[in-house]
Formats: sequence, structure tokens, C-alpha cells
Amino acid sequence: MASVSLQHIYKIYTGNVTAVSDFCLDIADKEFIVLVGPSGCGKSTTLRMVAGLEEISDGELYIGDKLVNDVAPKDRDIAMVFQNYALYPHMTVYDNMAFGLKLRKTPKDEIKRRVEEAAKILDIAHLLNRKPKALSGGQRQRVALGRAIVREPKVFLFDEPLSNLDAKLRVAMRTEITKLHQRLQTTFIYVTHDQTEAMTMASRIVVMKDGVVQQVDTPQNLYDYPTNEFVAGFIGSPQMNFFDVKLAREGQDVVAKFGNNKIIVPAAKIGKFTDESYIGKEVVMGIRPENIHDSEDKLAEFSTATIDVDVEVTELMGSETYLYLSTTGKEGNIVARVDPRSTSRAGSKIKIALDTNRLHFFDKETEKTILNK
Amino acid sequence: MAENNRFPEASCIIAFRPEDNTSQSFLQPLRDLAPLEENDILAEDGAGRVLMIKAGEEPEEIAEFALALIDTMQGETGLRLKAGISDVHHAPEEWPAGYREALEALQVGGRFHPKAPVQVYAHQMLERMVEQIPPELRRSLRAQVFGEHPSDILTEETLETAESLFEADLNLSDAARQMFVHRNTLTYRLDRIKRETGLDLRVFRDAVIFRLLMTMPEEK
Repeated sequence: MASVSLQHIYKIYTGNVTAVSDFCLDIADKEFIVLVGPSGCGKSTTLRMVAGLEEISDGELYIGDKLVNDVAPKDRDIAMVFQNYALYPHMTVYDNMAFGLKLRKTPKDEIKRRVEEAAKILDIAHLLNRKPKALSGGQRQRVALGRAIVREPKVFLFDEPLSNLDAKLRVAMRTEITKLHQRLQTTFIYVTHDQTEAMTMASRIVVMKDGVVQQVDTPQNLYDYPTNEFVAGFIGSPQMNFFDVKLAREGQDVVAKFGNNKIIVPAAKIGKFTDESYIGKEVVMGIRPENIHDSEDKLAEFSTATIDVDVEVTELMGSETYLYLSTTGKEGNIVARVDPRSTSRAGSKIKIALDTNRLHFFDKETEKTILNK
Repeated sequence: MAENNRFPEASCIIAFRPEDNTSQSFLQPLRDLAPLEENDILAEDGAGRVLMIKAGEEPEEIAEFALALIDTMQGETGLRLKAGISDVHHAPEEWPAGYREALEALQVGGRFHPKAPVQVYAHQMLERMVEQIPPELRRSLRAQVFGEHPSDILTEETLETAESLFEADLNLSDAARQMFVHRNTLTYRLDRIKRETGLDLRVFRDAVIFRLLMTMPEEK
């Protein structure tokens, strides 16, 4: 068990291509940190630098109190789980799990103890004599996890370990890995491009883009208080709806206008603006799909923030329904997540209400939030 | 070169090379870390690659072995390798042909699937066919369907949608299940792809064209 500290870490490839820029993060012992971002954002490179598989161009990396920039991967006391979860096909599950320990000349009894204990944790004890061919995708992934667990590392590193699994198994394994973290009480650093994985597993999430950390926070804070438009759009599925609006004063009210639509922004929200001079300017307004409503009671509750829309597609998901809507002044669809009993149908014209307490606003140039917490 | 005198009845040639093409020899660490079986042979080819003659009848199984070994090498030494796997061969006289196949798998795979660590010759029929099309014609064919900026259309979501549909033999329900999305969502995405490219991936002919164009690497 150990803390991990990344201090002003850079990765610069030949040709002056910067993959990671000034990455600073202190990861506490036993924390479950998830690095998330689109492909090419530098998250895997960062993980690989922690693992020692990638040289650090600049900055300092500590595992525990030890500076490990120049320590070989095998001596860093970390274990990495890759997305391939490749197993040696001619070896049994037991031998696959034991292989790394044998390379390290671990005594046989100790290998047996560790493999059996890991197998018990992962509920694969009954599979130890099987060959990988006879395993399902989920079982294979567990064996790959087992291979890491037997090393009893200070830090576990996961590089998109679930991305080769089908969607259903991915969901199941998410829970398994969370449980594993609780059971092992070890530091986990996990890389994924899937924001749902990040949201459901992490104690803290690091959102990255173009090699730069955008925001580090708990899942709930990232969701509720995104620091910029990128984070707002990246976290949440379906993603936040964005509107180019003009803020204007009309009598006592401040309104946001787009196309033929106009909604009143509540005073409490205006009170959170970092700078009132945004009133009168064009900004980007965001609202999450679940904060858009089509029910009568919500239309009445948010009567100052209703807009007319065309329903293009409805998706019945069972527990909820997604509406894909269009309106003037908004390029592309608005997505609303509404009650499954909604009567809105494709091809119809309806009114929707925006929960104005849940609006987000961003500077059009910098894309940063213009709201205080 | 041979580690013993008995030759396997069926084997594939695996050609390993460092991902960054460094010239440092990695034969010894690979030998130390590889769980070799009795008839396996490991040797350098004099061009910075290590060849393994691996007993086995299934290129897929040998590909998995190579992948596991690449993971082991990476975890233990930090060295990232790529591997090309030949077809199955049944006599030592066929090994030179296997060697060429393994190298070709590495080269072709490097151009078409640069991120994949293991390339299997037997799986590259389409890629080898596409390679025969002159680059200028490939560029023009892609532009006809995807426009001047293919990456605007070939987004991660579009590629995942197309791949899943092809994997499911164009069965919409299976593909939707595989992707864990509602069937309507898949239909919606396919309609969008049709609007953007003119190709309806639910139709076999259009699906073939899309698959072929998708396989073509973006010309620089």
C-alpha cells in the first residue's frame, strides 16, 4: 500500500510532441483514482510513466516516499492489468497466475498460498486446473486480475482493462473491480475512456484532454460543477446539451435567448456568476438531459423556461425514455431523459421545460465555467 | 539456432520486433521470460528481430501466446514488442515461407492496425487486397464516401457502430445487445451514417463497401 505523487510530470516525444504536460496529482494511499479522457489525451501515457514503461521527460514521480523516476518497472512494486488480458494458452489458470512469481523465484509454498488466496477472492478457485480456452471472457479477465493480485503490489495500475469485454460483462466487472478495491485496500490507478466506468468506480476522477488535466474531483462534484465545457460534455451520458445563447436584461429579469426561444434565468443563478458583465454577452448554456421535462407539472413549475420543440426520435429504455428534439437556435438535437410514461411521440410538436436551477454557463471564448460553486 | 533436434509437426513462425524499432538485442530477456515448450525454437534474424518457431496448429492460440509474452516482457523489462504470426506450417522446409509471412504480417498490420500488438497473417486477407489498390485511388475512393475529412465522419462512435454490426453479421438486435444500446439508438446511428455517407450498413452491398473503405488507412 502506498501513496503516489506526480509532480509536474511531462512526456515529450521526439519532434517536440508533448503527450502529457505539467501533470500534478497526489494520490492518497488506498485511493481509487480514475484517469479519463478521449483517446490521445495522455491518460495511458501517464499510467505507463507510473508503471515505468515510459520514460518521464520531466518532473518527479514518487511511490510512497521513494523517487522512482529511474527505477525499473519490475522494482516499482506495482502490478499492471492490461486490456488484452492475454493468458498463456498452454498453461492452466494456476500456472498463469503463478508465472510472474516463478520468474521472481518466489518459493513454491508461497506461490501456492498467494494463488489460492487470490483465486478465492476472485471466486475462481474451481477454475485453477482449467486452460484459458475453457474460460469465458469474464473468467479470463478475473485470471488476469489474479495474476496482478498475487504479486501483492503497493499499487495496482489498470489500463482500460474492460474495453475488450462486451458491454454486459463490462458492467458486471465494474462492480467486481470496485469490490476488489474495497477488499484489497490498496491504491488503484485506473485508465479508461468510458466516463461511466470512471463515475461508478472512482473515489476521484482526473479528466484529461490534449495531455492537460482539466479537472480533478469526486464523481459527483465533476458532474455538478464541471470546470469547463469539455468536462461538462465528457461526464454524463447522454451528454449535456449546449446552447449558444445571448444573455440580456429585460426589466427585472435576465433572459437567455437562442433562436425564437427565450428563458428567464433565475436570480439565484445570476448571483453565482463570476462576473455580471456576462449579461449582455453571448455565452454557452448547458443543461443535462434529466433536467429537461415534458410533464405538465414541470411545465407549470418552470413556466418561465419553456420552449417549443419537434420530437424527432424517442427511445424507450424501460426505466426512462430519451427524446431527441430539435428547435430553432440549436444546432443538432437536444436530448431529454424523461419519465417512461411520457406521451411524447416522434413527429409531434411539444413544449419542454428546462429546470433553470440546473443550468450551467460557460465563457464562449475560454469555455470555462462562469459560475461559482 | 535449434534448441533441440526434434521439429514440431505443426508450427507457426512468430516474428517479434521492438515497437520503437530500437536495435538493442532482446533475445536473452525474451528467452528468460518466455515459457518455452520442448519443441519451441528461438533465434535472432540478424535484422533486429527475434523469431520463434512455436509448435501449434492454431494461429489464434499462438497469437494469444505472443500477446501474453508481450505483456510479460513489458511488465518485467518495460520493452514493448510487436509480433507477426505466420500461417501454420508442417515441415522445416516451409519455415522460410513462414518467416516471410510473419514479416509481412508485421508490415501490413503496422500500416492498417498500428495499435494492435499482434498481427496474424491469416487474418489479413482484406488488408492485403486493399494494399494492391494504388494510394491515389484509395484516397479518391475514401473521399467519395467520407469527404475530404474522413475523421469527421469516422468518429469513434461510428466505427464502433459499424464494427459491432459487422461482428453481428448485420443483425441489428445482436449488435445493439453487444453495444449495450437500445435498438432504436442503433437505428438512429445507422440512419445518421446513411445521411452522412450514403451507405446503409444494414444492406450487405453497402456494408461491404463501408468495411473495405474502413480498412483503408488514411493516406497522408
